[in-house]
Amino acid sequence: MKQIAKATNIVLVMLMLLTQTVFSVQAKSENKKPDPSFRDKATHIEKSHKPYYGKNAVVDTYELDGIYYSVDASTGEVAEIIPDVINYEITATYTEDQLQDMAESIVVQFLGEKVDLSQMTFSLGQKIGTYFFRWEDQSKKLDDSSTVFVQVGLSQNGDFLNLFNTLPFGHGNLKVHAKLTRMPNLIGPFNQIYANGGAYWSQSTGMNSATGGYYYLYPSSACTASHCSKFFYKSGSNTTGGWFPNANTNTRASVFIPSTHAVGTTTYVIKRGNLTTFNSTVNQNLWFNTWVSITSSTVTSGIVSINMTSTSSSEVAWDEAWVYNP
Amino acid sequence: MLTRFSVKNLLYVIIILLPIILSACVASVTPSSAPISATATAQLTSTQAPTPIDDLATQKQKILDEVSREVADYNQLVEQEKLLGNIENRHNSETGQDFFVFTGESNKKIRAAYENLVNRMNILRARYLVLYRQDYSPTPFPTFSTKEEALNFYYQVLQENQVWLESQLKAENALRVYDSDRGNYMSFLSFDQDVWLGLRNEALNKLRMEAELSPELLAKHTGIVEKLDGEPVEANEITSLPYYRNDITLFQYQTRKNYYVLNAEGAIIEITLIQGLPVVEITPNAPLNADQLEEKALSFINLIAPGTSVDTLTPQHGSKIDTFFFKWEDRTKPPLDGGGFPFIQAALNLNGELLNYINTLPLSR
Repeated sequence: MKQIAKATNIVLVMLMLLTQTVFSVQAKSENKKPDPSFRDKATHIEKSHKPYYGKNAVVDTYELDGIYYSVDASTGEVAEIIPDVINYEITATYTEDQLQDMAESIVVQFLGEKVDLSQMTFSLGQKIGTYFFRWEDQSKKLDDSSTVFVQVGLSQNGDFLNLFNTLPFGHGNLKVHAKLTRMPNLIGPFNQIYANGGAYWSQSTGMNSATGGYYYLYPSSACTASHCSKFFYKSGSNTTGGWFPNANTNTRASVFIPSTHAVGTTTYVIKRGNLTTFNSTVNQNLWFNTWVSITSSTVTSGIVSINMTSTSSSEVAWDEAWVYNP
Repeated sequence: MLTRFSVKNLLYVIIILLPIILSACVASVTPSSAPISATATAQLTSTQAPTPIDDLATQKQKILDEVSREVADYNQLVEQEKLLGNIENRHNSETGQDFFVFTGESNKKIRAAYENLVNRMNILRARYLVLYRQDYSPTPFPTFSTKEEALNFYYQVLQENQVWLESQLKAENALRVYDSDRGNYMSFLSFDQDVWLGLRNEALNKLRMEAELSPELLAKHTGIVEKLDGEPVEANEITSLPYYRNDITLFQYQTRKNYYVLNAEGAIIEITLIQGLPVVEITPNAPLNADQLEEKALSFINLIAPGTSVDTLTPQHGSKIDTFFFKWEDRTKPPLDGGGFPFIQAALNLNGELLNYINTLPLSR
């Protein structure tokens, strides 16, 4: 009898495991693959400026099956492919070489044979279970003097993460003295945007986010002003989040208030570069997809951090913060 | 890990080296053609006898000592609490930095201590500024014959200040305080450095204001704002809104209730309520319907930006809880620098009262 009971238990456990596996497979969202023929089917979302690629860089953004495709408005070349939600696995299914082959074929599919990767400088970036295959064209620069590149992000399982191509925005090296002769009426030298993300994250601590949000630093970022719409929002107490700008002085700050979920009143605690603070209260219900200044004048000591705490029973949103010399 | 002994030693070194650091800072940041030197504080005359310089210096030093003590006590508390083990060690693979965050009761304790420290710094800094101003007599900025020269100087000094700030914060003897949000010790300027830089920035902003805002333009702007607002107008500062245009100078004014941002041509770009004042009543006395609200929005637009025709623009209206946003975009123009087409928008409550107003059409390329 004992043997029969034991056998029955084994069968039951196996059935349970099988059931769990089936359910987990069903529950898992599939990775979205970009479609090379998106131009025929996608919906045009917007035309937007990309100041971090160049002062004249403009892209048209299309959406198809939850993937955003941005193409250079002048040449029609693909500049960015970013899924709205990235589902990926980090199972070690493929070797680095196999993944590189995949990345190269994606480049060919979307950028065509015109892009000769063999003439570019290759580098591999790696995070936990994710790989970023990058090719730089050392002969061309963006306005900020960074080198133009093509980059494909894949997970170890071969899942697509994103693609960036800044080649269309490149030009020859700028004159050496270009930076020294800053023309009047240009803001700067400090002009940076910090993205949404959620509780307690910063550049120095490496996207330590409770909500899986992300951080970026203008201008070298994948996240753009018009695409950082995955803001963090929450209502009630014990909800905090912040932005941590790099060292700056004589700056102002504005925050983006999105059209949805942002209806409560919140206080931004702004810490100056001398360990002192001041508060700025914003009723987010009064703003709709616009930037709002949270500094009534220039902060001469600079802004070290902006922390936002909500005690409102209504939802408030943490979106982007823009810190700049006005 | 910092021990109590080493923290004290570090602070002594900071105090001893501070004057040397400051003079080095001034030398590094001051353009040869345009000195505004913190060392000018030594130019006091003997007519200031009632308050001997030593007394003032002693008073300032006492505050600096207090700052050092408070910071050292706080950092010591951090290190002591760290020993209890309620921490999570983390590593940033991108920067290679290790950091630690407190958990549980330790987290609460350190955050409360940090808040207390910041409150103390607010008080001490204000006191220090009062003392600092008493013998502050910097060499003024040079005068310039053209607006362009003045603005070139402004941007040059701004750039130098930025470089100087970054170098000071990277210096080994910079003031460091543990920040719970970052999980690490962060550098701050000393009060002496910060006040000097703050006053220098104030002088710089004044120089820019004088270069950009002629008496004629000021009169034009204040006339426009006064006519609309009905209250006395004060010129705040020269500003910009980089998310609309990163190459256009704008002008900010303030009345009793509102901030106004105008461009050089006199177009009103933004009207926003001054924060902290009671917000316009949201609860409607006599709620208007959607058509009436849109009509009201158009009448505001006609009043603030006469001649604007929304007929050729694309409506993009929206709403939140009893707040309504009447927005029209010009899709024939290139996008603004932060994305999106140039637009004009009036936000109203159900009573039809104006909550805020944005018009970026004059900033179109």
